[in-house]
Amino acid sequence: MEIKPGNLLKKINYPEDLRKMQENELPQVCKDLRDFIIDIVSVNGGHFGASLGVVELTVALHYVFNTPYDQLVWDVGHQAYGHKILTWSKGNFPYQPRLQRH
Amino acid sequence: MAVASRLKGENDRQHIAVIGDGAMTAGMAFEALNHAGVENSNLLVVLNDNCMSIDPNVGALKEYLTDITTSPTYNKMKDEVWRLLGKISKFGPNAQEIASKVENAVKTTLLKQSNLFESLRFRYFGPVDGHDVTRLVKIMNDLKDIPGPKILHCLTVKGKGYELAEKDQTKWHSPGLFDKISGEIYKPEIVVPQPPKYQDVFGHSIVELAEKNPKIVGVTPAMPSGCSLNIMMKAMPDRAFDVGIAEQHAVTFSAGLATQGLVPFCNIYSSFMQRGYDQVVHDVALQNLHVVFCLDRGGLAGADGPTHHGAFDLAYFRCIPNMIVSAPMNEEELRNLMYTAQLEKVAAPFSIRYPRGNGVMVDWRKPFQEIPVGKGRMVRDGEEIAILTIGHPGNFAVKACDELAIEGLFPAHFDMRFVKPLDAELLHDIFSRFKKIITVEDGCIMGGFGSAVAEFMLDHGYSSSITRLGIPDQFIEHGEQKELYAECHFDATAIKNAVRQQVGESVLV
Repeated sequence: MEIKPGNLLKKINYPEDLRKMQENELPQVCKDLRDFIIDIVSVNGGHFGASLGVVELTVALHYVFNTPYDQLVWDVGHQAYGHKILTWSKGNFPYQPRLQRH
Repeated sequence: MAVASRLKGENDRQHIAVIGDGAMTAGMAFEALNHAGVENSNLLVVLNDNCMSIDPNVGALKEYLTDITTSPTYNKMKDEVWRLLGKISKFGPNAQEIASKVENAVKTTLLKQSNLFESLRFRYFGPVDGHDVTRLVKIMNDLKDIPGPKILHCLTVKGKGYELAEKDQTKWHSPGLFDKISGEIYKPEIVVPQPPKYQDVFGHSIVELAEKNPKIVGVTPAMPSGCSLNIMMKAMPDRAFDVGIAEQHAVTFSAGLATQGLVPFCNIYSSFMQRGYDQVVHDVALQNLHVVFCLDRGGLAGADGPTHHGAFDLAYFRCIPNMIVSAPMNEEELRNLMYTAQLEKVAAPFSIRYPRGNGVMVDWRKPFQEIPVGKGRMVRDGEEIAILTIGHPGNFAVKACDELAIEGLFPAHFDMRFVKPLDAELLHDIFSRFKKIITVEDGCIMGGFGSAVAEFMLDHGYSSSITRLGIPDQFIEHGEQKELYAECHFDATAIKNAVRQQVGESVLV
């Protein structure tokens, strides 16, 4: 099954793409991101709950702060899938998801 | 990073650390908060409070955070602060001045209820709904203009947006593959009975032992489901402790219990045991206390990657005086080592390490038998070459020997059981009879089991040729356990090759 990101998410390869968006588009970005994580993890396995819990937080952080100039540190990799999708470009994500299982 | 930016004059740079309320229970988080507060660096800590690690979080901090969230005084004050913060955005360049007003407002109100973070010189903001992205953006924009250490307390729900994951958060922490519409988690079809997971053998066996020995207690740092201590927590809740993500405390807490004559089984993943090493050395081993360390996830842990591989424990425990270091080859051996470890006559720090995943025995629940400390066993006798294994990889050697027999090669195989004390009697016999030795371990080659055998050889003036198989001196990426065993060259195929190579050498000589 081919997994496609939603219409807004597919425009984002790096955080600066996210920062070009309007604030009122962010809820839809969050929805796209959440759906994408659910799609990917259901097919490839990996961590699930932790990343879903920080979707809005992840989007807000990258929207407000000037990443990667501003420095962002996550305590564990398994809540950072959203972060990875926004920063690694989506193409890589399916091949990198199984990072940590605490 | 924040201090480095300050030193480099990059004052416009922001630094954000996202930390869960689970990770916040570890001592290091407080060490960093304590330091950051006095450094006055430009740092925003985002506390992602979802009341969960893999299992529900425990302890006073969790209750404290819940108190803050529900305190009416706090919520009233919070509104005032946000009102002021709203002004900051409008004022723009004058933000500093307003910020100090906000600070005062916050402090005045908060000091009354003595906010933990405020007392560490952080400006505390929150709690806020971590799922309202518009509000989060507004708040973070405001916080950007406030210099110094700040903490933003966000309330989130683990698994948000996927109903089943919100309801059963432990199960959906890492569910494996599933049908996203129906929520059905795919399980491999089980046709024949499978051997149990080592962790479940631990979980059931500790309950059996504790039923007979009232001194036994169980300790885990936030891994009740991961290490299966949850079986004991259910069966005897007052004798099994989840101390939160706090490995150092788990070890010293166990030491304290042992000073009072109890026999704690402290179960920590091999990789996470590294966080409590000083406590093992000083608080347990130095005092020769009777604490049993069960190291789950010993060896290559599979898909979880380099942070979770338990590569180093045999090496880092072996060098500690008083410490007994053992690893079972199968479920029955695990049970017997656990039984032996709790015996009163042992009365020393005793570590038992076993891997993630399943063992090899379907019929594993055999009566307990004592294993003499420091005694290995011969699995099969042979000629010319001896294969010495520790722990689960002994099964790879069994397979290798079966297959080599078809080629007409008959190496002997010994399951040493103990890395420390080594079975000197058995080793004298082995080195007298075999000039070719192969050691196999699911741990770092450097300083591990094979090294111990080589040291024994040197110390006693033997000269055999030794091939050491195990994890090489590098960090191993994630992958299926089987693939990784092959990649690191200590699976059955690698053992067979090592045997053939040793034989080949003898032909050349």
